[in-house]
Amino acid sequence: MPADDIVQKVNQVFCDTFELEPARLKPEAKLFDDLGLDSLDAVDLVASLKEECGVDLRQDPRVREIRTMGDVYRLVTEIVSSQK
Amino acid sequence: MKVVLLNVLFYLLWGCCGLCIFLVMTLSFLLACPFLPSAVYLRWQRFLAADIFGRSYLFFLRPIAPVSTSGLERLGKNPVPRIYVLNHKSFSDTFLCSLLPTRSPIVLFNRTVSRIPIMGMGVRFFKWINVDELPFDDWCESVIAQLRAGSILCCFPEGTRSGKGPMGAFHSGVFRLAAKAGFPVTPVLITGNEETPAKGSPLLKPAHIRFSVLPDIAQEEGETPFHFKERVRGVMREQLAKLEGTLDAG
Repeated sequence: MPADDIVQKVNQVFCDTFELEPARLKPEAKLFDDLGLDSLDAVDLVASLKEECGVDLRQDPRVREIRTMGDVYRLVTEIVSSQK
Repeated sequence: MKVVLLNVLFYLLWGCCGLCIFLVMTLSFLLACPFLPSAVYLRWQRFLAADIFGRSYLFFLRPIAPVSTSGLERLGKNPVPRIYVLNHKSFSDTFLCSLLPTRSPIVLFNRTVSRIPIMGMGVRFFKWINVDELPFDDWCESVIAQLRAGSILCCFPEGTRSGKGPMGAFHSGVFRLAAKAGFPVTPVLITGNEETPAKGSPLLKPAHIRFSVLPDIAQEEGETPFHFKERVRGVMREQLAKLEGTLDAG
């Protein structure tokens, strides 16, 4: 899946799950400070990413290092690439 | 100097009052506990701890920081299941909750509160709910059952005091609970007590505290808990800016 498609798909997950405006979904946006997510929202996010993008982050230790939207794009891209 | 004297007086009187309440609680524990069902007994103890102790704090605080209220009339006298969401500027916020019509509030607390020496013991004794100890679904069910039995829930979704800073981000747990149970959320704004007392200091600085109850906000059909949380926070931020603007001008 091309990188642009991944960004678009991840953004769509954020829009659908959290009703966030697309303009706020910038790579530098911090999930907790800028977008207002918390740990329970993160659980929803992981479930939605599995459903929409087919990536399972539940057991992935890298998920703990996610801070920004850019981190989400990068991790999803890495997992999709490794699945090929 | 006058402020320091008033503070000394405040802590002496409030301390004595706390001691009396503690004695009444101990006596009632010894006399009533074997005969009363634990739920009834717990409600009585929570009433003494949260309502009477909280009101005594506000009573003795009056010479230093009087409190004016608005919007309380829309709550009615009898508590109905509802969830109060308050902004959190200072330690005194917890005692201001006693202004709400309740006889047995539920308090949600986190591991930071459970580690505070006396307060930590208290919240465990009253079987209030440590959200860091239990899975979300477990504490959620317990709170819903207690709300339906006539308790009210007061919570500070910022999770920590903001002091003079802007309102912090909200945690979503309580909004998920409201959505799950279908209870309305009642926002409450507290202003003026940023330094009564300030974070890290016991000194109560003179202030005029305002306690404003806003109209209920219900979750809209199809709205996600996250969006519900952000909508409530948006309303509270807007109203807080208005209130603080009024205070500055005044």
